[in-house]
Amino acid sequence: MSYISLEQIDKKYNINTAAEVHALRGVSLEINKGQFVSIVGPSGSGKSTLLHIIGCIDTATGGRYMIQDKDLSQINNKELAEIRNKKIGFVLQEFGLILNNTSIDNVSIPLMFSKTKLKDIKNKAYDTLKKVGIEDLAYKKVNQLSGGQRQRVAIARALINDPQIILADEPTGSLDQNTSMDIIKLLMELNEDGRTVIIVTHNIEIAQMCDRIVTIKDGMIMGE
Amino acid sequence: MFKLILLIIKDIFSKKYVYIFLTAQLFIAIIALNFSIAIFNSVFYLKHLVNESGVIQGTYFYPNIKYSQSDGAEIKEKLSQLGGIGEYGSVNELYGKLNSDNTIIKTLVADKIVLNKSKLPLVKGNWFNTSLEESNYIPIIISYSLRNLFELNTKYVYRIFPDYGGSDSYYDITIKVIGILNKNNYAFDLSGSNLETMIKKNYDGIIMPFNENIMSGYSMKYNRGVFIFPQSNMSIQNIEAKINENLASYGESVLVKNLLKQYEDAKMQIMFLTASLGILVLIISTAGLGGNNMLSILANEKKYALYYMCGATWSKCIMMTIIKDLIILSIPLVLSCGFIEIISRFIPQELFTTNIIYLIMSISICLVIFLITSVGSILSIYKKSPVSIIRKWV
Repeated sequence: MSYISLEQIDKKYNINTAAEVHALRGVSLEINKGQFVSIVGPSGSGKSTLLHIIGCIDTATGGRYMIQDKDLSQINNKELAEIRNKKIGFVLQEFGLILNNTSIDNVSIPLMFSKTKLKDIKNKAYDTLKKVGIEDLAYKKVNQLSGGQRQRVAIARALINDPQIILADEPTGSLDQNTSMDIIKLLMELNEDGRTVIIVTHNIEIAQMCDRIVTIKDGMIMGE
Repeated sequence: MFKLILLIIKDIFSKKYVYIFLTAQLFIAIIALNFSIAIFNSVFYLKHLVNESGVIQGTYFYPNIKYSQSDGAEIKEKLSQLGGIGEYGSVNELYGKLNSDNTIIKTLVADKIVLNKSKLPLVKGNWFNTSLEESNYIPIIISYSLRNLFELNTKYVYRIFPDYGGSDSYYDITIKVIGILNKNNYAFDLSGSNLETMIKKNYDGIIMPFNENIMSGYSMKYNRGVFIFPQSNMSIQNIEAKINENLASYGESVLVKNLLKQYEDAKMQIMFLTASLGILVLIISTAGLGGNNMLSILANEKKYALYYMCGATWSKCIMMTIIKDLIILSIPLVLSCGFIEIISRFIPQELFTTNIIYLIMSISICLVIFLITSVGSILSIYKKSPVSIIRKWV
């Protein structure tokens, strides 16, 4: 049985208006636990929309989405939030960090919405920063860090609750070639630990480093 | 919940200058509003007192000679010959002190006729009534400023100096406190050297009736005047004209209404200028407050989308915005209450008096502005889907 299962997923924006957009058209995808999947395709093809639906930050307008046989279209907002918090770690192209805060404060955010005790938060965040190799930057403000360091902070934040799924939307889009490779290696290490990693990328070289490449165009999967 | 509050506080500290600015704006808005309300209210309150007061029906005769209960017989006789006069009663000023305290207290002594017609609002106790006439003590009403020196319904031995500064003669009388004046009031203070300065805001002293049994024979020589009221079939303007025609050599008579009007006009100009300044500050600060509040909330939408991505529900994010708003709001509220309390002690009461109602009004108005702009901004965020914010971010 697949770890992540999407059946005939549809996503429309601005429904019944002149500006209606059909972003995803009957997308079906099965991803097994521990796979490293890249989603590629041209701009506006629906890659990010698909990733957002997988990451539970957006909902499909049609079809069925399941994680570990749990139908996520049937659960309420609170349960969805819990899944985002515990099962999924999200990494964004522009890092999605609070620039005025320190690395450790940024990494701690998911713990603030979990049941972790307040006294354990700092240690856990520090340990996670250590995992991604930037523990010495824990008390530096994010706006003082380089792009690569920021992305590591973002990955640490995605990892802090030890999720089994890591989603990365163009994680190397704002980075130079060397740093990009460092970040991909880091994601590969996380995959080797047994996590399912799904990345959206334009970079074919990076995509080829993954177990699977899913190509999407005009909201439809064109092939693997 | 504690973790969320911690997150909010961290969030506030991460942009502390924005919030200090917002706090300062809210603080200024509350102060400005309080100031304006206090000034406008004092104008309206004066108008109200003018309209409500019984002495408005009379004319005030201000003698230019030393006139007293004992040696004013000539004036009284002249008044009785004029015709058309219903009642009249004198007012005098003397000074006194308690045996237990060295504070010299201004004391307004008025005939019961005058006191009956000039009921002033009290914060505690009752105004004078005729049942006290035969008592062996003199009932008094104290100003709000003396409330810590006297206790209500308590008798005291009061040493009066009818000619304070002129001679050392004094009399000990028994007084009983029957009421405490409102903090804000207007009374015939009698300390002025001319008619225009007869009225003062927030009288500071004691008011007592002239008691024939106890005080007859006391020579009181300060600031005497007579309130004169017409018979019901006579107009007060006629009486005033008659007095000024026939008693010109003794003094001058002015309608109480005109006296109050003079006072009001004199105060209006300064009040208008101060209130205008207050309103200007208010408009600038509240407009800025509303605008900045809206901007600061909207600027946070990315942060809330991030929280959503990290496991918060969208409702929780909105709740955090509201809690943050309340935290931001509470600081200037506390500061402004303290500040107003402090400045009200230093600014002359003629210019600025405040009370809890003005403060509540000011805070409520600022709260409404703050909340309307907050609710508007929060709703605009709430209507967005977090993913649309994340998309823009990416």
